[in-house]
Amino acid sequence: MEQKFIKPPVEVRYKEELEALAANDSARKPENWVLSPKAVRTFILGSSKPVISADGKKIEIRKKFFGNDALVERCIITLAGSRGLMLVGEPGTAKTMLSELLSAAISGVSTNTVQGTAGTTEDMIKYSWNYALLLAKGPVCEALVPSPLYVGMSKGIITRFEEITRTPAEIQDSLISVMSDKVLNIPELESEGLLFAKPGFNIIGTANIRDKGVNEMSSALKRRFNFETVEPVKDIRLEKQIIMNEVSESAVADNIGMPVDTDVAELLAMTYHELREGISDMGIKIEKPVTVMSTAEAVSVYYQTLSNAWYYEQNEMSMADLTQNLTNAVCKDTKDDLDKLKGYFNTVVKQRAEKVGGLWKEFYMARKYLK
Amino acid sequence: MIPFDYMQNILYFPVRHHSPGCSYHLMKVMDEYKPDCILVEGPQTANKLIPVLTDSGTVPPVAFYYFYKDTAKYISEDADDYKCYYPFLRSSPEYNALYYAKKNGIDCEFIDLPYGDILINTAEEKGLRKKKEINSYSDEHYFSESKYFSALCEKTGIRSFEEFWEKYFEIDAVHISTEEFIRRMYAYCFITRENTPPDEMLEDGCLVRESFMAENILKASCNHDRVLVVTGGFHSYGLYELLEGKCEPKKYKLHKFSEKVQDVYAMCYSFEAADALSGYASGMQNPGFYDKIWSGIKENINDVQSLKNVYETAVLNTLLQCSKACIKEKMLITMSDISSAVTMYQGLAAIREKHSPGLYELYDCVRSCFIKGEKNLSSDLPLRILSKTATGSEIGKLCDSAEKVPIIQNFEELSKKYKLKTESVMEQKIELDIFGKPMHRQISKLFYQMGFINSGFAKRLKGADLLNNSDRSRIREQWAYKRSAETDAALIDASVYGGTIEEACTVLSIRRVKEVQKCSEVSKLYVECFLMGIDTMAGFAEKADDIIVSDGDFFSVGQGIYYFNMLHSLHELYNTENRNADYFLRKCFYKAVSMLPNMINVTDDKANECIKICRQLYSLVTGKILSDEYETLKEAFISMIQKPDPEPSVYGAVLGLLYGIDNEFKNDISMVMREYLSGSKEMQKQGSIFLRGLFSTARDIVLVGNEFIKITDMLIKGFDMDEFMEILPELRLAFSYFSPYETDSIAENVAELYNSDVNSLRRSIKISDDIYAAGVVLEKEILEEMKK
Repeated sequence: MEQKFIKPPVEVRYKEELEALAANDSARKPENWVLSPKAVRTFILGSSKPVISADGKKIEIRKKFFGNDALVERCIITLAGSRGLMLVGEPGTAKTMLSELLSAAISGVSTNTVQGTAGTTEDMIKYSWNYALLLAKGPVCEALVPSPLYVGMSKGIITRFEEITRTPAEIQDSLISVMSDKVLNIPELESEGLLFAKPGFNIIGTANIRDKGVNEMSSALKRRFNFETVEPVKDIRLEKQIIMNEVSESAVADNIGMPVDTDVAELLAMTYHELREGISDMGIKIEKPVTVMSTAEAVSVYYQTLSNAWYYEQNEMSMADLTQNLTNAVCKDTKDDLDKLKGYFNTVVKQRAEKVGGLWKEFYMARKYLK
Repeated sequence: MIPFDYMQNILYFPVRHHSPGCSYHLMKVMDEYKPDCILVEGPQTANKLIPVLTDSGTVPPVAFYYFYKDTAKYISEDADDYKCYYPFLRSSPEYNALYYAKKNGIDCEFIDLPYGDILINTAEEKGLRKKKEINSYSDEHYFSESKYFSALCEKTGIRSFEEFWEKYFEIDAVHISTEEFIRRMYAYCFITRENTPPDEMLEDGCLVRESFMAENILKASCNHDRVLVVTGGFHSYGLYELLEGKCEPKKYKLHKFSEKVQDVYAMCYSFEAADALSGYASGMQNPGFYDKIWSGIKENINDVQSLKNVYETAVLNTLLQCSKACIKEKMLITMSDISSAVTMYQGLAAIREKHSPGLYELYDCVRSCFIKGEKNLSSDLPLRILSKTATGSEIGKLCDSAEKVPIIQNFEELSKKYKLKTESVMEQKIELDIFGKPMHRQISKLFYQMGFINSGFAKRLKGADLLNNSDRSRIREQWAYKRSAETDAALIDASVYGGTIEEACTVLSIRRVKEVQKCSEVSKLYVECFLMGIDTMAGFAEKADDIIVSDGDFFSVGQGIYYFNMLHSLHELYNTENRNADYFLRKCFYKAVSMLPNMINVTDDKANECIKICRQLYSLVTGKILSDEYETLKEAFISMIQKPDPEPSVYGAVLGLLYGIDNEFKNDISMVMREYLSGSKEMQKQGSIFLRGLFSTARDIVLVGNEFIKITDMLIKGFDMDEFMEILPELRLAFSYFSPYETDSIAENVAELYNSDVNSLRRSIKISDDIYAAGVVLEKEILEEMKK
């Protein structure tokens, strides 16, 4: 029986695409890379033509990361070089997703990950010991418990370091020598205690700029990385597409049988876009909420409304639910954000309700839930 | 497709302005075709300037400055003045064509309609009649704004038209044959043209211009064997069809204008001004970088292998130049960063299937390898440095035989018109009756404009100082002025911003508005523009709008209210058109009102300023300009007084204003006063501060009935002598808002309270003349001591 996961890893989710790309990949590739840089690009940014798999099937390569193709290209080239890649940005801008896609396409595995927290120790980054074996046999390779970094170096694959700035600075700095010399010293193993990184090894870090200052990276470590700032999607059309794609996939996974409403997705994409940019498409200036208006939040607002409609058998999206979910999502950090959201409704939504009517009118009518 | 055959009588060479790729193939075509006549796109009126442009003493960047004065109202009833620029860089194909012609003794000329006729044949807000900061003759919106190109970019996975152009027409230029280059140009231009509606081309004046150009080409082809036609790629196809008889020419009428009405000058230009990024849309961006490419091409024109490395070399050189500049700015750029950047641009060129890395790979590698951390305004200095490096800082030079710089000419014309003695070496003084004589107002504007460009030409000695809010009652201005070398230097510096002083000030003020961050600054700039008589345009307003929305400083917004309100009254006073002041005043009002509730807790050093702004807001809603916002302000004031821990004077002032709005608030004021009275000693002291605020906005509350006098009396009675002395300054300040007559009236009420009369009260404080005189002396001495 097929095992079902809430969220299968990227290499499982896109297994067919990765295999088809590998079968057709004749371009030059760095040592130990599963796909060439060009094929990695195609995997992440999609292809207008289907790729023929080894068994003759036409496989569509869908675009998975939207909004900044050049950034993806820079990430790939960085990983082919000697520096690590650090993805920074607001929460909900798909940094983790991009790092998973890159790891899966380059190394065939996206799960070799260190999750940075305030409690992350050097052991978790480098290696630790199986103490029963250590006591029984002394410091031997068998007793060593490899960390994701160790695995990455020994296999020549990508190691992902999530939320690196949540880790104390002195712990982060244990990466410096590994990244400079590509060697990990294990003094306990004496003559066998040097692990040289195999080609293909590199690190992708992610850091949330809202956490900036919590554990600022040292400049020595910064120099070992190329930084890429992942920004929110600027194009409403793309944002709508992302909302629809993500919600559809989640709905299928959760057996929700309601289709995604294009108009609601557009309304939500437009609302998020305008609140984020502080200006409407009619040129009305609005105050931006302090909270992060990310596409991931928009997806979440839509999905909550959809689930509500499905499980309470309303069978259609309710603007009242959507407005309440939107209010909960926007008014997290400060009470002022509620006033800003009200201001948006009283100016932009009101005008659009008068001009366009339809869904926007319903949306405006639901303003009583803004509390 | 247009045939490209060296045997033809007419050979069309399509170009993009400032493109080194086009210049490279144009040079090859000229060597191969050996034309006996070269025709270049450009208003015919500039033919007289070809010797200046191609003189060995002239060094690009230079520009032609065209102007046309519509005094005969051919264009519109407004009889406006029009001007535009036609810049030439070393890499401009048009410049190279003219230079080649001069060097080889070949006939050459510009073939487009004169500037005035182009305008007459252009619809309002189209083509060269678009209201822009600066209009460029070589506006190439057809080329880069076509709907077709955005689809093309999406299809090819390229982020912008400029990058698309660089990949296929600049980098590839040195790798492909001339025939292939021309084929690509024709193909791109043909599709662009096919995607442009004929109505748009008609409204832009494009079709009439092409008809005129075709006629000139036909004439030249009758007298010459090999005519090379160098025009913007978009026109090549139109010209070909006209000359092949495949479409009908448009009818036009040529007008004869005197040189006073229509003329052209050559002037020095800069890379900065020529950069399409600066908003002039006159060709390719980053002229400094492409100038390096053109130099590389010229150096290696006969060495195919070196030619192919031109881009890689220029990218590396620019990267090193940028690195040096970054290090100079105390940024930590190491050899490792540079080598990582080199790997990055090479890798990106490979993954993007480009023959060599170009400008976009350069920007990408600097962004990735030089910016440490999040890319934001504080960290993107390397990108700004790169942009500056790629733009270049060179300023062109004109040969000695060139005519005078237009802005200096404008200055001299205005000085003559206003009878200013600019030839004198002595400082001159002039008194201006700015309300009585229109010419004096014009002179005042000129003086303010000259000050704005830092020319040191004129200095105001007397007159209303609107910026600092002093002497506003003065209706005359007195100025001192003198023309010096500094004046001319400043004018030449400003010449890159415009051909007239007013135009330069307009451009400079728009630049400045882009730099300012606060509402107080932008509103002040509006006043400066008013003084200079400069029309603040749409781009200006948009930025101002942004600033007002994002300015979180209540006091800066308050300053904005002051300036915009002043502008409103000035426009009424001067009887001038009020474009934006009222709109921004309202916008500032809303912004200030939204911030008001939190202002109740300001620190005591900001309290007076806060009260001043509250009073200003109140006067706006009680006047006619914002009378519809009466309720809005009332609500904001009410939310203010409902907040905990108010600053006493602001609290008093706001309650006083609310009393002005609605007398019912008298009860609230009494209640608050009693609260202060019944509180601790510290609270009672705050009561006196509260009174100061209250009297500053509602002193009549004391004069109606004697309830407040009783409360105040109770407050004062509650203090012993030491405490009373402590609060006395506050009380003195509070009562300073009353006029002497009102003070007398209060005194009468106080006397009545104690069953006495005013005279008996006065008697107790009467002092002899001697004591008064001694007091005056003592005060003087104390002041002198304090000064020490």
